[in-house]
Amino acid sequence: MAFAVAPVAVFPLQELGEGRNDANLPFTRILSQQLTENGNKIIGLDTVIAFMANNRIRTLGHLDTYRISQVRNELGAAFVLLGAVSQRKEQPEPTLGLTLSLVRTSDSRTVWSYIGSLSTGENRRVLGIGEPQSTSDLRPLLLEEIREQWPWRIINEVQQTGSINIESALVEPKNVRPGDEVRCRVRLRRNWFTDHAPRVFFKADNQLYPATHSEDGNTYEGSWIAGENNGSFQINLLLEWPLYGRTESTLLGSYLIDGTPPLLEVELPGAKILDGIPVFPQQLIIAPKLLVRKALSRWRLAFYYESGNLAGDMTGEGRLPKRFYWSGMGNFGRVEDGVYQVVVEVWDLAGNSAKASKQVELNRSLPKVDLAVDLDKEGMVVDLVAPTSKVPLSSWRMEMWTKEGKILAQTEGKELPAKIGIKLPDSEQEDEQNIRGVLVLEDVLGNKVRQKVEDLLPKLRRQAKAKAEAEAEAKKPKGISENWVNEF
Amino acid sequence: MNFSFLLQMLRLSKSCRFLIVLLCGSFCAGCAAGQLPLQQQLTPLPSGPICRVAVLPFLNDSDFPLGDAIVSKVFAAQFQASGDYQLSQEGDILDIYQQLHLLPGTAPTLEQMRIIADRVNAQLLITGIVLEMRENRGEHGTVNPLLVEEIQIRDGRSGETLWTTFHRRQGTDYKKTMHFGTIHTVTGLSRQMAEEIINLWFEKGLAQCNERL
Repeated sequence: MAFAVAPVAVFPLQELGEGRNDANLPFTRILSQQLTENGNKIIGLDTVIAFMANNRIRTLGHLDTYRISQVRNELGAAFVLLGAVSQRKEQPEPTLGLTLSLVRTSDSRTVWSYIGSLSTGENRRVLGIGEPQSTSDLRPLLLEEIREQWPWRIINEVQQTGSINIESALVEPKNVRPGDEVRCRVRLRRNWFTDHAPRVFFKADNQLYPATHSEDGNTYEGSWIAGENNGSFQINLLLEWPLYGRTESTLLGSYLIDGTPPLLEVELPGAKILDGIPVFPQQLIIAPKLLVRKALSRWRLAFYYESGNLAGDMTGEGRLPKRFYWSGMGNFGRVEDGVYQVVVEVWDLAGNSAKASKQVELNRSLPKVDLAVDLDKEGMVVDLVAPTSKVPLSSWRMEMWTKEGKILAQTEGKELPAKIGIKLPDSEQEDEQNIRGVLVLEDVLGNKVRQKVEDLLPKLRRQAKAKAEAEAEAKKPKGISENWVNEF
Repeated sequence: MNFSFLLQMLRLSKSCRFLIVLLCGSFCAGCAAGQLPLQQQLTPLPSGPICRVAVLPFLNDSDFPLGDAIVSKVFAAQFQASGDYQLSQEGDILDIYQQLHLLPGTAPTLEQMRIIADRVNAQLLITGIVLEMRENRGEHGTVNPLLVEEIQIRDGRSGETLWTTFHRRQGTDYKKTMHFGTIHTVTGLSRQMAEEIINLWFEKGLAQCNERL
């Protein structure tokens, strides 16, 4: 058995007996039933009769083009089956004749015709067993012939027709949170009379929401509150003609209810944790991460002073960047060293938001070391002492050489304080003993300082000479008074 | 000529001879079904493909009630099925009849035909007259229908007759062997005669419409 989805409206068969407008409703019902059983989608005879009554169709066996298109619009029929019982007599010989025309409603074209006629005399059987005796016996034979000739190919080529002709449709917002309002607006190309206008509903989540129509009668609007359950919900436009017991629907779109906020995390790769706070010297890498992949509508990155005041922020739409780089610039320029709150906020398409923050310290200070040099018998002693600082040194290196390039010391280490003894060359010439050097310091944040040490020995000697002279001066007897006493 | 067959037959028994005569007679009766309708071509058909055709209500000169309706409906259905023509809807034609104040059973004038063809955009018009339609008594209480009709093909632009075809048949004309082949219904006879007329038209040069349904 074949199945056709294109609906066929079977109109009452005309009975060409005594008058031109007699109807044969019993045969029409049997024919409709037979076609339905064969897999056709038949619009019920009662609906068709209601349609005829509403449109004051008083003739049988034929329809004009206008009425055919009306059948399409009001009943949603893809085909109209018109016909006439051309003869039905019991005497002298039971005879039955039928003509049928299948008219396609989209172009009002007759696509199939059938002429059937039977009589008992044409259906003689061996020994008369099972021979039809009346027109009632002939009817099943005629219906069987119709079934065999029924144009399945033509019917199946036609798509399901619908009288819903949408000009524009709008569903907004597409993503909502539970309890948000969903609005729907649709503009139809109306192809029905005002008297036969359908009732219009929006159907979502198995709920019907009546639509209100505009003054022109073509635009329908509706709104409702989104439910509590997450998920995607389809919106159907429903047109209902209670007069014909007919309902048509078409899909308008869908909306997504999402009450789950995004899961956001912020990482600061590369930042050194000092005293429990990530510290960065020049540039901070901020890597926000959505733990559950989700489409975002917008995002915001903000920096707050320790006091809670905004230092700087930036916003964007759509996808969240994988990384932000902050070099200590605020809305009004370069910010001072200190502790800041880094806040990343995101909003998903439904408007659910999530926030993640981290406290960071901006520390641009360079590593320092106190250098003390003393001369002793063998040379000189260099004392390196690190001043008190939050950022510890990770390494240091000291090199010293003479003016001629002779390396005197090459020392490195990771911890301070350190004492380094340097043997001075034996040269008497002061120039030769002009010692130069370099001190390289690096802290744990990666800050590196290269400090030159120049004119070290002459300076030391000047200092030592001055010191010796001062000591010598102090050792001299207080001659004036003694001399004066002696001379006195 | 070889007479041995006749000599052989003379030697056959009476019953065998009766059977042979009966068979010959039935063959001769079947020959009547092969008779063509009488067709007259007054003017050639319009050149080019023809698809849009309107079958106007037939006239009824017979005493058979609604004979015109039966024959015109059957003819229109057969014509559509035979050549996949794009037939004007009967409802549209009857609307125009109403607008032109043409009562059922009244023949439109040439001008009215032009109007009808113009409004339904038909290249050809088909008109017809049922000259005689009867349901005669046949053998063993059966019906032997009789139909005499005349069908015209008219030019839609002028309404003038291009071809006219006369046809006359009765149900027993199609009898083959014994009672087989006999047509017992006016509907069946109308369909058979319509088929014969349309086939003749095709033979004479009426082209089928090749527009896909």
